Amino acid sequence: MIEVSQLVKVFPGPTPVRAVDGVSFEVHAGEVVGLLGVNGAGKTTTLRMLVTLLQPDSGTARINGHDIRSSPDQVRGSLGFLSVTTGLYERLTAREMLVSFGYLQGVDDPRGRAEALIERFDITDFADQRCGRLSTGMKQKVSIARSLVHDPPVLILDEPTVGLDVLVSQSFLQFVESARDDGRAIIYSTHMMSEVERLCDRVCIIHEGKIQGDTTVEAMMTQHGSVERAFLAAVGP
Amino acid sequence: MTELLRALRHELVVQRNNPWGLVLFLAMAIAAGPVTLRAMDAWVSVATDVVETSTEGVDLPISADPEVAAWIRSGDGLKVVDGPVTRDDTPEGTESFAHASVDGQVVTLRRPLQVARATVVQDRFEDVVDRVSMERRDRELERVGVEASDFEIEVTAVERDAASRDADRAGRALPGVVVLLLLSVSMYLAFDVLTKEKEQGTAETLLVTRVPRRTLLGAKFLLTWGGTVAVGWVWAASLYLSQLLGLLELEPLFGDSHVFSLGNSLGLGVLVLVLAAQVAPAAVLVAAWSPNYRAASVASLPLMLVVLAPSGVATLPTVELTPLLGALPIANVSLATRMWLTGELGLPMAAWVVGVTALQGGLALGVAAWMMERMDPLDKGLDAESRRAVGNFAPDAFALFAVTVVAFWFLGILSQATALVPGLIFTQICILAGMAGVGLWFVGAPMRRTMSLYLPSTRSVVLGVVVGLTMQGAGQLAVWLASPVVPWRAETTEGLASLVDEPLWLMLFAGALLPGVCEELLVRGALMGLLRTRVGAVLAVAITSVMFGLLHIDLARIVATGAMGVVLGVLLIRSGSIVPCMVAHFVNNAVALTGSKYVAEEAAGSDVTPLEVAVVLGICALCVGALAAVRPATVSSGSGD
Repeated sequence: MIEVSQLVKVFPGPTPVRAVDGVSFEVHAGEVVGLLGVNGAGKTTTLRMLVTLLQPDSGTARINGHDIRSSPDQVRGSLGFLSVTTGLYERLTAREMLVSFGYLQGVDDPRGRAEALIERFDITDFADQRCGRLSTGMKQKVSIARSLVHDPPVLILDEPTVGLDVLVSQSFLQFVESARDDGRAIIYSTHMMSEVERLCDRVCIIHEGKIQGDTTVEAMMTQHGSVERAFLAAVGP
Repeated sequence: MTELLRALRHELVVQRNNPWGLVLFLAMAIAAGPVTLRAMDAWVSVATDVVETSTEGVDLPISADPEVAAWIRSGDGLKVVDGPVTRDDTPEGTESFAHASVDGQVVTLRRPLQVARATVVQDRFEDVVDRVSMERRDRELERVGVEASDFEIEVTAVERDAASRDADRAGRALPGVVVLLLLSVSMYLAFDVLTKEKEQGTAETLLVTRVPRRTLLGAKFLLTWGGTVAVGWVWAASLYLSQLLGLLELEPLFGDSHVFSLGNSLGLGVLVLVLAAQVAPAAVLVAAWSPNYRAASVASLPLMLVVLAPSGVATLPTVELTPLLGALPIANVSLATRMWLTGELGLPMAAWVVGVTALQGGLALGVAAWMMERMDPLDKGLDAESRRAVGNFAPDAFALFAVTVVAFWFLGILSQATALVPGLIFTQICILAGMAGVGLWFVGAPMRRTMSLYLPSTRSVVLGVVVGLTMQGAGQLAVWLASPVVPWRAETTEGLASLVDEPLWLMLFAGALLPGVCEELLVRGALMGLLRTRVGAVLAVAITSVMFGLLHIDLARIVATGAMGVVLGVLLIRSGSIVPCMVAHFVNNAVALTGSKYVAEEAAGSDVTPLEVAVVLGICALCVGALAAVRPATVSSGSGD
């Protein structure tokens, strides 16, 4: 579903930074792959290349069979992207937001799809409030619904639980599990080891722009006792 | 195509939920209708119609010596009489000689017949003298072998009837108002749909949908253009209706000519379409380039200047629409509007203007799309904190200068024309010093360090006084040196002439103390301080000197004030404080004003002798030497830099 091969991104400057340096991994349908790394390791840059917000300097990736370089529009059409930087229109109500993005994504029945998502994610109570007035948790629900409006086979989630309280995080994790069970391929980037242990089938550890480890969570647990220790072993000094 | 429509639908939904901005602009458009009429009315009513007078075609008596009497011929309207001309030669009574409009009223000007005749005789006799001297010139030229025809100047006059003349004048006033209105709407919408999205993170949400970036940009352009056109059409309707309903009492001269018939008002709708196709791509381009609101607002001011300046071209009476001017945006539409109102606009020229507009708009959109393709929505530019660390405020200096110039030229000069002394005080405090303070606050530059607001050493204050005393002489020298290139004009000093009539304290306050403090705060303080974050001292002094010269408007004074700017800039760098510059500027102005007040006037502007030049040069050399002797900035206050 997701095949990443030898992605490279260099940020120019007085001292050019190789933010992503030959990253390759795969994610299959019905699988959650955790992307772990310290701040600045290259996680976000990798994901932003996958969703075609950034152009890779070399290497490429295929999402649902579409190449991120040659057919970026189809790539975006088949993935849902959620990060701390994907904002909501403050002026639009939750419902308008979903309907409008349904239209933009070319959904057949945007209104019907929006209603279904509103029900699915418990948005009904605040569906007609402007997004600017919603709490962080409410906004996150709307954002999740927004990323799923076109029913994408691939989900790319970049630190999606940052700033959420325990209850909202729990329901979010349940959503990821159900999305996995629907057969979607999911990349889950996070700093929360407990979330990785609960959700992920495999973990890619990225450090200084390179993949330092690509193993199953089970293997990590048996070898190191916890994902956290496995992570520290991979990136530690 | 369907994707474009879907993207456009999205933009409309977002705008629908924030109608107040557009409502405000629609209200402005409604108000701008009568305002435009009033502006055109003011242009039209400058007209003064000459009435046929009773002296027309009558030979008037003149007494002259025989030699002079021989100059007068039969067609000159004069008859030579023996002895002096007496009162009895002209009957009692008055004649009307002109219609003029005064405060919106058409008045007839009348004068006593005796005055009329005396004036007319004088005019006619001057014509005779002119003719005689021209004949003598031609004879002399012929004697030395120069053809008189070499001196002939070709003159072409455009014959206009009253209605066409009014249309011509109305066409000059029209573009300024509508360009300003349309540009404001375009910038508001473009910044809302592009810059705001980057600012609020919705750009990223939008860019990860399947719609290609260029399609998103196309939708954003269509919204900007459509909104601008809508506001423009409301303006045209308001213009037509307020004339139809007689909301304003317009001049009979103007009211009779029906410049804005229904047909012409519909034509204004076409004008709006073309004009919007010029301003909207420009606004979209700037918005696509700006990573955040701050950058957008910095860029919007030069944009306004660039867009408004060509509309001024159309107000000049000698400028006509040529194919070359037809390629200059804004100016071409302004001029075409004028020609169209007078019925002179041909189809080829109209097609050329529209074609050029489409080409330029397409080009601007192409560049904007290119920027959009490469845009990283996470790159929101540097915030004030990082900018302070990086410290590049040089572009802000130019933006600040642009705003100040606009405010100074319009508000300042207007206020000074209304009432000189209050106007001067307002200009100095509110515009020059005010802009400096607000500007630094707005860009987030540290006030004290940028403006060098530090206590000076006693020595540098004394130096400030010396510099101030010598600068006046140096300025005169500079004017004299430049006089072969830029002719000295006596009237350049007359701007402040009436300030000399004020009491001494008021003259020194408004003409020396305030300029000394406020102009220095702006030029040496804010502008130079901002520039120095990026460029070296030499370049900063050079740029601010040119800016300082430009602020003083007059060509002849640019040389003098530019030179003064260099001296003051060096003084700031050497002393590390702005206070000596203020002292020097104050002393310079005070010496000049006091000199004009008490010293005989004929001394001003007279020829400079070589001795004086030598003296001034010597003083300048002393001055520069003294500047070099001062140690560079040693900051005594505890700012730590």
